[in-house]
Amino acid sequence: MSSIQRLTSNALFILALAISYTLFTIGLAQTVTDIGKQVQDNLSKSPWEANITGKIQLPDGSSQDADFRVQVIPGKAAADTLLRIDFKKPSSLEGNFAVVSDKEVWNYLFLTNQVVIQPRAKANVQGLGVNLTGLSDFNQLTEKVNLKLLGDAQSPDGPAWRIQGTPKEASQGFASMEIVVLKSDPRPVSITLKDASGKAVADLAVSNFKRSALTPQALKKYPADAEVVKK
Amino acid sequence: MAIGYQLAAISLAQSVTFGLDGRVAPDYLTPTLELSYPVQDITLGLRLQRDAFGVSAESALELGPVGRISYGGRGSLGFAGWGLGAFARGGAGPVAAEARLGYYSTPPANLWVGDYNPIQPVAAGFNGLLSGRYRLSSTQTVGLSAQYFGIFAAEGTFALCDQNTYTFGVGYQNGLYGLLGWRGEVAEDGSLLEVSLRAGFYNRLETLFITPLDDTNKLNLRFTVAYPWAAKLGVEVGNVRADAAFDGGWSLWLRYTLNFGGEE
Repeated sequence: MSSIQRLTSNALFILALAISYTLFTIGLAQTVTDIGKQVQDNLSKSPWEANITGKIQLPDGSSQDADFRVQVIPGKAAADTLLRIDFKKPSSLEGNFAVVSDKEVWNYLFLTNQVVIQPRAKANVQGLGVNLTGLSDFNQLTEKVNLKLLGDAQSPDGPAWRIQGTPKEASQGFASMEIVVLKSDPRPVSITLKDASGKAVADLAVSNFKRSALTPQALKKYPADAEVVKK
Repeated sequence: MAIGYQLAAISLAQSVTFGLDGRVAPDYLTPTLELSYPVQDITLGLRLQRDAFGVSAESALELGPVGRISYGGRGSLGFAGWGLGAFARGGAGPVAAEARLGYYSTPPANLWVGDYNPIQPVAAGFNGLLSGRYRLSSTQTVGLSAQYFGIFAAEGTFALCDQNTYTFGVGYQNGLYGLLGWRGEVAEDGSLLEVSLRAGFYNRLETLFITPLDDTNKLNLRFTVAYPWAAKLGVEVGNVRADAAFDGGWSLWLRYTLNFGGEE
């Protein structure tokens, strides 16, 4: 083999490597977008509910057990989704719930038996340090977070993808996130949010996921004697 | 079990309430007008009747799913005298509290028909209330309250909340009394009944029944009777309210509320 042939063959080899690397990375980039789309399609095809449990760091730095029941009725557009979060832990919030609709956010406060209704633009659902309204809307997540596929993982529900996210803007309340998405039924099974020092500000697992016949009336139900405060 | 305060109707952004209040022995008849108007985060209020008017301002600290604390003040002026009052109440996490303080040169009922309370009439001079509740666990709440309205009263309660809420307590008002209460849903449609009995040296039975009529309207019935004999009955359907009272003489207050600006 002449030196020219060797050079050509090496060049071809390097070119092939470069092409396959490029194809590989394009493939990964498409995969993370695909996964996002699969999750969005899967979660918006019918009403569902799930438990979210784990630990959340409160604004004062202390760590609290978290246990929420999430019920979701998907809308035609993502903004039309109706979401209800029932708080079970911390135990001081048991009985409280929040309902997020396209226009309003309702906060029911058990101890004072009040429903506070605010326009969505003005409402604060972040009283626990984490904005829970994004949980049902994967598109919204991809708009605010740069996602990267880390690889495969094994979740309690089966094989899954590990996806890492970093916020596009600094003011999201976390520096990085990791989401584990189930492959067989594309939906998040765990979410970890970390601050800049790598400490988990939220470490949540999703369990008891099921499709349910939920109605808007049921999600908006509150005790008949509650004081309604409309802002 | 503060039925009186819990049922403070729907406080909407902007509203006008027209009313007519009449009573027999002593005879008295007056139209009433209540206006509520928000300016940024403060809700301003105006109350008018035949021979007195009042103003109020109220705001709140919103804590999302964790709680809410509202606070405000009000002033009244009329032929009978004047009065000033301030309040703060709300809850955050496991704690709920309320504080009120007022001074009136005449009984507050002389300056606003809405302050007429045959069950616990408030005297001229200082009046105030201090109460707190603490949630021991998801099902157990303890409460303490003390108030002065010409006489002194205090109450301690323990509430057990399962599907229904059971309240036990002891109190003092002209002597010791015991308290038993029950609150729960009585039908699939969300109809709710609340009953509380205070018995001993002070006696009072309160009942509240609410049932939905359709998607937006509820029927709201509240009846309270106390011994020495005094009673009041409140009926509310949608925007219409009627409050009748008996304390030796009779009174009836009819009201209709118009709400504006629900959307922003």
